[in-house]
Amino acid sequence: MAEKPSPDSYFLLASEFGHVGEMDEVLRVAMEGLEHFPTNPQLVGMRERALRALRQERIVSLRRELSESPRPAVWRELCGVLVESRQLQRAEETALAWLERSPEHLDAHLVLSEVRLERYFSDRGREQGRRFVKALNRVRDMSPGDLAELELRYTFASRIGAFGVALEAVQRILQITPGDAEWEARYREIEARAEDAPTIERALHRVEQTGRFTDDGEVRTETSGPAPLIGDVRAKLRRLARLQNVNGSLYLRGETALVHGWKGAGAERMARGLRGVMRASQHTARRLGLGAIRRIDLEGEFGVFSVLPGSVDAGAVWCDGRPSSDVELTLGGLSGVANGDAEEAA
Amino acid sequence: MIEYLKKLEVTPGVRFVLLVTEDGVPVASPGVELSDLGREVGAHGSIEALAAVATGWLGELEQCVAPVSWRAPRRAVMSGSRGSLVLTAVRHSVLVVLADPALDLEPIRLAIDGIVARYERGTSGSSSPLDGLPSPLPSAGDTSDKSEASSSKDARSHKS
Repeated sequence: MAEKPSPDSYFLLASEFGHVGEMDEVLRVAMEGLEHFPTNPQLVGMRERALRALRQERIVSLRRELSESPRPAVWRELCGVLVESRQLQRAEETALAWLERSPEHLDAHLVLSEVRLERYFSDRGREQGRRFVKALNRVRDMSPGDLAELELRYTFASRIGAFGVALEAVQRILQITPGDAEWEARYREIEARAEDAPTIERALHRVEQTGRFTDDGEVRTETSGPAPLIGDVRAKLRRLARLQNVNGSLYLRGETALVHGWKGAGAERMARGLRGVMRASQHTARRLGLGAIRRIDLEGEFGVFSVLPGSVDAGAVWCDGRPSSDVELTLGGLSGVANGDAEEAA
Repeated sequence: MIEYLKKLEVTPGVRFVLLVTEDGVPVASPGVELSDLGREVGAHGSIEALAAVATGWLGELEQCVAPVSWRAPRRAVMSGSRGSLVLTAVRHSVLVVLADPALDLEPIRLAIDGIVARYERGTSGSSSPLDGLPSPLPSAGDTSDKSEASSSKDARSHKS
C-alpha cells in the first residue's frame, strides 16, 4: 500500500481494523485514504461508519459513567454526543432526565434549550419552536442576562426572521460585551431588517408554511407576488400539452386550478389529487426535515406525474414516460409564474 | 437483499437506505441491527419514524391518485432543499433512500432499478424480498397485497 496506494487498499486495511473492532484505526486509515482520494465513496462511507461507531462507543461509556457517578459535565457531554450523532429525541430525553434529577440546575435548562433548538431546526414545525422558546424563557428567568441564553435567542430569532427579537438579543449582548466587533457587525446587519419584522409566533408560522429559514433563501408569502395572468398560464399549459408524450398539465395557486387534458369531473378530480399530493408531500417533507420541496415525481403504470412547486403555486405535468427536456423547460416556466421564481424551479 | 442495499448505500450522496414492509415496519438497513431501530437518522427522526412517515406518504399518494383511476405509484421521488427521498415499491415492500439535496437523482434511480431488477431476477421463485431476512415481528402474519386489491382501471379511459 505504501508503494502504490489505492482506494481499495485503504478500504481493505480499514476493513481489517474494523473486523477486530479497532474503530480509531479504521477512522485513521479512512482519513488518510481520503487525503489521497477525497471523493472516494467507499472511504467516505467507511469514515462515516467509523465516526458513528466511535460516537456510539462514547455514548455507551458516558451512560455507564452516569450510572456510576452522575455529574453535570457527563450529562452535558452525553447530550452533546447525542446531538452530534443526530439522535435528537434521545438527547432531549437525556436532558429531561438530567432536569428531573437537578430541576434547578441552570446548565440542565440551557442544554435542554440547545437540544430543542436543534430539534426545531430539523423539524421546522411550530410546536417544536414553541417548546424551545419555553425552555429558553426558563433559562432567562433563572439567570437574566445569561450570555449563552442571549446567543441562543439571537440564533433562533434571526434564522426564523423575527429580527426585532434578534436585535434586542444583540443589544443586550453588546451591553455585556461592549465593543465586540462580531456582534456589532451583526447589529448593523439586522438593524434595518428589524422594522416591521414579524413576532416569533408569526415567524414560526411562516417557517412552518414555507419550510424555509431566512438563510435558506428569500421567504416569500402568499401576498408577496402579483396574481398570475390567467391567460399567460393557460398559454403555458397549452404549450405543455402540445409537447410529445404529454397527456395533461395543471397549474395550482391557492383555490385556483387550471387543468389541461382532462374535462369536467375528471379535471376536478385531478386538481383535487394534485392538492392532495402537495399537502401530503409538504407534511412528509416537514416530518423528515427535507426542507422546501423543489420537485415531486410519481412513476407508475400511469406514466410519470411531475410536480414543480413554486413558493405559492405549483405546475404539474402527466407524461407517458420521463419528461423530455422541452417538457422540463416549459414546466419550469409554469410553476413560479406568479412570483417570477421560474429560474429557481427550472 | 442486504448485499444489494449495501451497494446502494455506498453511492456518493446517499445518506441512508432502508427496506420496509408496505405497512411501515423497518426490515433491513445496511449496518443497522434490528435492535437499533430507535436510532435516529440524521435530521429525519428515528429509523422507525422514517419508515412510518415514508410509507405513510406513499399511502397518501396512492389515495390522492386513486380518484383519477391511477394505480399506486411504483416510485415516488421528492427533492427538497435539505434532502431528497426516493421510495420504490419492491413486491411487498418499499425501498427507502434518503439522499443529499444537491444530488442528481438520475444515477440513483438507475442504481435502484438495477438493484431491483437483479434482485428480482435472482429470486424469481421467491415471493418477497423479505425472505431470508429476520422478521422484526414475532408472528407478523400475512400482509395482503394492496396493489392486487386495488380496483383501479385503465388511467387513459378517464382522459378526455
